[in-house]
Amino acid sequence: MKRVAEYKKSEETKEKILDAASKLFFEKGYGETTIKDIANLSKLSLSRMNYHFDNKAELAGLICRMFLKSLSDEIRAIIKTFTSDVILRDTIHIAFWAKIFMNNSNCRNFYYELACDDILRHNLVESSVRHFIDQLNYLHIDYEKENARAQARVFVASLIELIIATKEGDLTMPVQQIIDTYNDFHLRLLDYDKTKMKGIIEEANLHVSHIRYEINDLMSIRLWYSNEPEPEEPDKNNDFNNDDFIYALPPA
Amino acid sequence: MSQYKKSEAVKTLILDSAERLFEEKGYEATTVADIIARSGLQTNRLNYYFQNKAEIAALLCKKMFRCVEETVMYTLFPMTNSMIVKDIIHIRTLLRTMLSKEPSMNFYYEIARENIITEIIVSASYSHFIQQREFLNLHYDKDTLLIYAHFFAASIVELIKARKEGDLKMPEEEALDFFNITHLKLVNICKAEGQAYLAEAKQLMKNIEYELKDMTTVRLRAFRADRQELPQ
Repeated sequence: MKRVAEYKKSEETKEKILDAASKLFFEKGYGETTIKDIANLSKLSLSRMNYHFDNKAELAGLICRMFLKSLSDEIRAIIKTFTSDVILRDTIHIAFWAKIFMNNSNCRNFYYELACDDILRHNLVESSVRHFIDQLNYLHIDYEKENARAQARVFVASLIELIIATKEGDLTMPVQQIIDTYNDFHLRLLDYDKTKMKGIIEEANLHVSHIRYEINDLMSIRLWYSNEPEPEEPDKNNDFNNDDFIYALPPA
Repeated sequence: MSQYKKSEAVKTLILDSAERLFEEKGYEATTVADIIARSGLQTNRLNYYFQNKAEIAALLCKKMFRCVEETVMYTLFPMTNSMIVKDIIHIRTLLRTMLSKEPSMNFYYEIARENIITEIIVSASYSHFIQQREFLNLHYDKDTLLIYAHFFAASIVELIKARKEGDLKMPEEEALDFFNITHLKLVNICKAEGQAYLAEAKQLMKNIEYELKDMTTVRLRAFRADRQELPQ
């Protein structure tokens, strides 16, 4: 019994640390947060913290995986209610995923920082290998395991590049175009029927416009399907360009 | 010597010294002081030519890209008209240079991690995509092609990292095949079609000898089927 109690206690401590870290990353950003800040907020000594986690990167990685798991569970629960098409499901998933990464400013900053530190890459690869294997099976495409792995790596690296390039201002086209192009690339990787690509991406976008979300920390997300499509959000990338344009005009 | 010529000569000297050092010790372990010492410069003069080590590495990387492009164009000119086949061989030669052998592999891995390569590939492949837009019948706007250039660059960098880190254990030839096919998918050529082009390119490559002279210099030499070297 004692062992069980100890295990439970240790899990509670871990959770406390994760909560604190997630809160701080959300509010201050990953780079600005120190291990000491996390220890202070979770009311633990540095040595107790180190017993549970080696470093900040490990914490960030875990938080990232928890978030993606939460996102994936929520979105699958919603999609299940209207389709069993695996490719449509994943196209919606990707469109929604990319939208959160690029439009929600807290997420955008956090994932940008993880991307720059090469943390994101390692944490996304394994789950995306499983995705690719799922999809290839569904499409009855013969594949070799290493090839599916390579596809997943290219897929993840491209997403990370988009996060970095968008944030750094190298890609200034509307976010929706970036997301569509990413989905299009994903379907090409899968050798999806070219004639159906545009249709499935449009269908996915229509569904995405009905999905609302709420984020309060970096570990979980809540989603629901609304009957009304979302009013068009002002595009972050476009906004920025318009401002520039207005300021560049000579005074009347 | 004119001032301009003199300054170009110093630049070349610095680049050459840096390249030797990166070859011997690696990019990370080499310091700016090492480069200054090897070039026999006065301390304050390096900053006059280059801002930092990363800029020197980027120039060396660009030099390799240019060298590969030139040698591929030059060698393939009498051999094929197919732009797609040329592209396949171009990409394979590039990747081979960065992936197959130390110390080259280590150098490109280290500068990939420093995010030095991505930008270079983005701008090179973007202009390449634009040039080929009509030929390949790509009905994409420029923005889309720019996004593609980012995908392409990120994929190459990922391949360099993953190979060096010991993931992606497939044989090198298969890794190059995978990459060629991925590139062709981007330019609207599906896997089956792509494989036919790939076979054609590989057939041609049987008669081309590849040599990596140093980390930034590649030579290709074409032979006739009877192994006689083609007149250059």
